[in-house]
Order: sequence, then structure tokens, then C-alpha cells
Amino acid sequence: MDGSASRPETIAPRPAATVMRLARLGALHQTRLSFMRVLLRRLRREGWRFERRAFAIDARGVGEAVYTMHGPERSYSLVAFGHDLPDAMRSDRVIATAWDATFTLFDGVPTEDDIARLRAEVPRQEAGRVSERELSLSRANRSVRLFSHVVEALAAGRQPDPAQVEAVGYLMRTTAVYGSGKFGAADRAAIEDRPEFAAPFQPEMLSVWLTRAFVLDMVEEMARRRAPDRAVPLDPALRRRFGIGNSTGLGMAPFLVSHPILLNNWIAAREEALARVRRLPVADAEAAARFRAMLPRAQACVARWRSEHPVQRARLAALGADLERLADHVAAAGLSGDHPWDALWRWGEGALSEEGQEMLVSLLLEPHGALVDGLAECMSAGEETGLGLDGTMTAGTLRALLEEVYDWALAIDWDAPEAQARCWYVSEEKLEPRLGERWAEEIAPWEQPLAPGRDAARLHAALRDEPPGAPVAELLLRRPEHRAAVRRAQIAARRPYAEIRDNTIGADLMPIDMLRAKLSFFGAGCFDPRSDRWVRIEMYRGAPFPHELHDLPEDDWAWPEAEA
Amino acid sequence: MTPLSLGEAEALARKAARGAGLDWGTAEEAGRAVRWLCAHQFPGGEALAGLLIASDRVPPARRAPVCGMVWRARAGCLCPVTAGAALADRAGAGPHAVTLADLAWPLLLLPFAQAAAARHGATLRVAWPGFRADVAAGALALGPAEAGEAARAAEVTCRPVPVPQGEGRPRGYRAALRPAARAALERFAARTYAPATQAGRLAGAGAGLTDND
Repeated sequence: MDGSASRPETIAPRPAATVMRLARLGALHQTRLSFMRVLLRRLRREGWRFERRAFAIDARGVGEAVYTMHGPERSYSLVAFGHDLPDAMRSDRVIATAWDATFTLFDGVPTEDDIARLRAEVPRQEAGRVSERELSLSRANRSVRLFSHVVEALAAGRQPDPAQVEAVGYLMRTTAVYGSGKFGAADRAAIEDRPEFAAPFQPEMLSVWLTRAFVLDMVEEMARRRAPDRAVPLDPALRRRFGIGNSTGLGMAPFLVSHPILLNNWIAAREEALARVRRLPVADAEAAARFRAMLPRAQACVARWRSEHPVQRARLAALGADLERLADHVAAAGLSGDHPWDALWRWGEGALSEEGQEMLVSLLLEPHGALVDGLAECMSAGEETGLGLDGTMTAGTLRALLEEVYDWALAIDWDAPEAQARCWYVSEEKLEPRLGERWAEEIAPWEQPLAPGRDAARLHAALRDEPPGAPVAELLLRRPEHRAAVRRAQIAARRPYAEIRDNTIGADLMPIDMLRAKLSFFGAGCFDPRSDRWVRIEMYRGAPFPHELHDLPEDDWAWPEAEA
Repeated sequence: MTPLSLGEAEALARKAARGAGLDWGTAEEAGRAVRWLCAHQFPGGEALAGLLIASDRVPPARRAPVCGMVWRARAGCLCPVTAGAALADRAGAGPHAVTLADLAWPLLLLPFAQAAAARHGATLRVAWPGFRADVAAGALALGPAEAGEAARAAEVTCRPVPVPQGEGRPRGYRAALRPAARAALERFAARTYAPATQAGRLAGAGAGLTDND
């Protein structure tokens, strides 16, 4: 904690050295700037209209459906296929070849011909092929624990047990949602100028939101088919307690490293939002009331957040204690002083765990939508920009730049076995990123470029022999292996949050930290690591369904209701 | 032939270039170049496949041009990806004319010239016998193009011109690769994949608690 009193009018976003550590990134929570929330705010504000254009599902959950959202200029349709998957074939692993349901987001309203084409391809997922009319490709598996219970209860004319709904949280979990250009889908570059896709990952988030609606309709339909006379639909409030689950593994981890500009823009927006709130000279009454109302909701969020992973369990215990301390502190110190949000933040930096501090960020943004929501427009990065390299930069300038951005990497002894214990590679078998043990497996020849810290240190060493005034283009002619590191350093020079400032191949790496950072920006919650390298999450839990989006309060779903 | 998305074409080209022995940073340049060419309906994948077949496993440093009055290869044909990257690297020094001798698959130089032109806000003309294209930020004007798929050109010039001249070409969002070129790129790309092992299958992907509950 910085002990000196900051001058509130000059409050700057937090330094990258604080924010970009893996442990910190692995403690992020959803905020107002999360992509699911950005999407639903836009759909609501612009009056998007929902239409269930087709729905034919049998008692086993087999069939097809088309769910369309109509916007001011364009429509998008989730085309869903339900399958009857034997329990033994159900796996969240990317090596699976069959799923309970498969989906694609279609750009527009599909014709019969489109649906016939998709019927032949979408259920095969990676083995199939979609076209530039499709914006995503995804699949989901049932939660064995909850799905049957809900269908059976509804078929028997009663509501499912709320405790079981709370404990699991979803009926299906997606195990991959492929977007931009994957398996033939449209490139982001082709759609990035549409206002509805200004924020990142909006087609994917739309696809998942409609998937949740489909899954809930599906269980009600299955119950109705089984017992047409007795079955009841879900109570609307209980229905909203179902999110959609997601199981994410290593495949997602390299993304933050391979998209440094995007990473910077996400973090920069969040940090700027925090700084804006801290700069407010006073807390207006409405914002203060809203903030106070959020505290018990944050506690409810932690109370329902379950994990079997020992690391996450310890962190949840600390987070629960943090929230009690926070509530006590707000009650005692109030929010009426000078720059009260900044004062609260600085208290939190000293008093709370990293999970607690990052949840405080989320809570501080919560009452300040008018001040921060516009930052969501700054979170994208053009898919085809930003890769140029300035070869006229001198070796001396580049060295100084490396010493500033990668000081943490230059302090690591890269010859120590533990510093390079891991190695990212892609397996021949599934063409997915994996993380191996460099000294135990024969994998180094296939190493992926996912260790920017080590590579920056190597570049720094190579620069020692260069005349300080020599252009770096000269070095790259002789030592082209440093090209990627030069480019990254130049990107990071102007974008403080572009680099994770930690060793991504060290013995103590927890890949789930990288997964969590990305998923928090999606808007996921209840992170439940299932090992050091895959994590289960919930999405859209509490959110309105498409048919009721305009009947419920705007953007008030991401935190659970306070416990009575 | 099934068209690829630009993202797929780029990823395939990047991996293929790496598989043929380029460093990751230059391979990334190759990926961007093929993406740009495909978006402008040039046979970028075919050109890269041809280049990689002819220069398979040439060490990266040996591909580098000797940048004198005329840019030349150290041995054999000059590599357009390495030379193109060097051309774009120098764009910050302002637009200037470059002549490249004995350049392999000269089409691959075009995206790098475009990047250089965009960087200093100028128009650059890339020409060799039977081909001429003017490139600037967001613009492409094409003159004669019958030698666009040449496997080598004895002399290629890249020089500033006042305004683009030629036929405009709108950009697209699909990459049509001929099957033979695609297969060749996939063969190179496959070299970037580690052979599967049972240990890797279990540990590398992170199996942990049950995933069917």
C-alpha cells in the first residue's frame, strides 16, 4: 500500500506492476464492463425483440430450435440441435466427439436450406464446417446432477428443489464456444464495424445467452412431453436462478498472451473506470445508497460460490472475511468525506486480500454506470492493426524500454530449471495448446511463443553487444529469432497493460489464473477450478431471459439478491 | 475448394512458415501477409507454399537480405517474407526506393510494401516484369498482373509514386486456397505439433476431477 496520501485530482490508473501479476489477474471478478452485461444493456436500450422461430424438441431432448433476436438493423439467430447422448460419452474435455446439444449463431434469419446445411455440420463441431454466415460454433453438456431432477420434478407437477438449483446453478454447461473465423465462421474483421459488436466477444455472448434460454425451454418441454396433463413450467424467479455453465481448459490460456493489444484495452478500461470513480470529490446520495445495497449482494455471491479446489477454498474464506470487514468499515467510516471512494479504495488496498480488492473494484464501479459504461467501447482491438514493428528504434532505446517493461523478467535467473520448468506446445492429436514439463518430456522443439518474459530477457542480452545507436532492424537481420520480442516490447511501450508481468513457463504457474482473467471479462462468476488448468464457471445466472428483457430492471442481475 | 476464413488462412500460414524453419516472429509476418493477400483475392497461400517448398529448413539468418544499393540474398533466391519484413521495419525512416534482386515469389512482398506505405502515409509501387501494383493505407491499385504468380523475379522495384494508378480491388473476407497449396501448408504446419503421448494426454491438458457430473 502506498502510505502517502494521494492527491485525488491526479489519481492515475493503477500501475501495471500491480495489476498485471498472475495472482492478481487470477483474482478478477465480473464488473459492469463485462461483455455479457455490455451486451444485455445494449439489447435492452435498443429495444431488441425476441422471436422463437422454431422449437421442436421431443421427450428425450432431441430436436431443433431457432431463437432470433431482431435489432434496429440486423437479426441474429441461434440454431440449436438437441441430441440424445449416452452418459458414458459425456465429457467436457475438448477431445470429446459428441455432446448433448450443439449450436451456431447465424447472421440473420436462416432459411430451410441454411438449417439443412447446418444440421449436417454443427452437430459434428470441429469435424464439421460452418460458413461466413455463421458467427459462432458451440456445444453444451447436461449437468447430470441437476438436469434429470428438474425434468422429473416439473413432469410431476412441482418445482425443483431450490437448494439443488443453487448448488449446481445450471442445467447445461458449454464446453467450447468458438468465434471469429473458427471452423469457417465469419472473421471478426467482417463484422467489427457493426455497432452491436463494438465491444469484444459480443456474438459469443449473444450465443450463450440464447443457449441458456433454449436449455430452460428444453427442460420444460421435456417435462410436458412426458406428462402433458401434470407438467408445470418453472416459476419465473426460480427459472432465472439457472445460469449456463461453462468448462474451460488450457485452450483458452494462451489467448491473453497472444492478444497483447486486446488485453491492454480490457485492463485499461477497467483501471480507468476505477480511477474515474476514485477521482469523484463526493459520493452522491444515490450512488452511496446503491453501493451500500450491493454489499450484502456481494456477500450472497460469495456465500453461494462453491469450490472443491483447496486454493480457491482458502481464497473464498478470505474473501468472505474481506466483505465483512468492508461492510464494517463502510458503516464506521461512512461515505461522506472528501473523495470518499478514493479513501475507501486506499483503505481496501491495505486491508483486503487480492480477491477482496478486486471485488471492491467491481463494487465501486457498480453505482457509476453513467461514468464508466462508455469505456466498454474502448475494449476492442482491430483484428488487422497494431502488428507493425519500428526497426528504426535504436538498440539503446529498446534496451531502456525492456528494462522498464520487463524489469521483473530481467530479475529472473532463466538458467534455473524451475524458471523454465514448463513448455507450451500444441499436440498433434487435438491441435490444442497443452502445457508440458520441459525437463521431463521431449517437447521443447515444439514450444509455442508464450514466454514473453524469457524472450525479452534473451533480447536484452543480445542487445548488450549492439552499438546503442544502431537501428534494431540491423539486429533483426542477423538475429531474426528476436523479432517477436521486439514487436511485443514496442506494443507494450505504448500500452502499459499489454503484458502479463509474470513468468508464464515457471514451475509455479497456475494456468487457471489466465483463464479466470479472461472469463471475468466475459462476465463469468463462481469460478471453480477443477485442477490447476481447468475451471468451471457460471454465466448469465440471474439474468433476464430474452422474452422478459424489457420487463425487468436494466443490468441488475449480475449479483444475486441479498440473503434474507 | 472450401474457402477458409481469413483467420484460418493466417493461422495456417503462420504455422507452416514456422514449420519450414522461420522464427515465430517472422512466421507471424508470413501469416499476416497471406491474410492480406487472400483478403485482396491474390493467391497468397499458393505463393507461401511455393516459397516454403523451395526454401524448406533454410536457417532464418541465411534468409536475411543483404541490404545494399540492391537488396540481395546471401545465397540462392531472396526470401520475400524476410525481405518484406526488413522493408517494413525501415518504413520509419521515410519512403524510399528499394530494388530487390532475384526475389522468390515476389507477390509476398506486396503486403509488406502496403504496411510500409501505410506507415509513412505514402503510395508505394511494387513492380516486376508482368506485374505492377500501387499500395497505400487502405488502398490497392493494380496494373498488369499476369506475372503475379511468378516463382521468382530477377528484379523487383518498390518506390514511392504520387498517386495510386490502376484498377481498384475491393477486399473480401474469405481465402480460397487451391487444394495442393493447402495440403502443402498443412504438411509444414504439422511440424509445429508435438507427437501425442499418453502422459501429455493426461497431464498436459489438465485432467483433474470428474467432468461428467
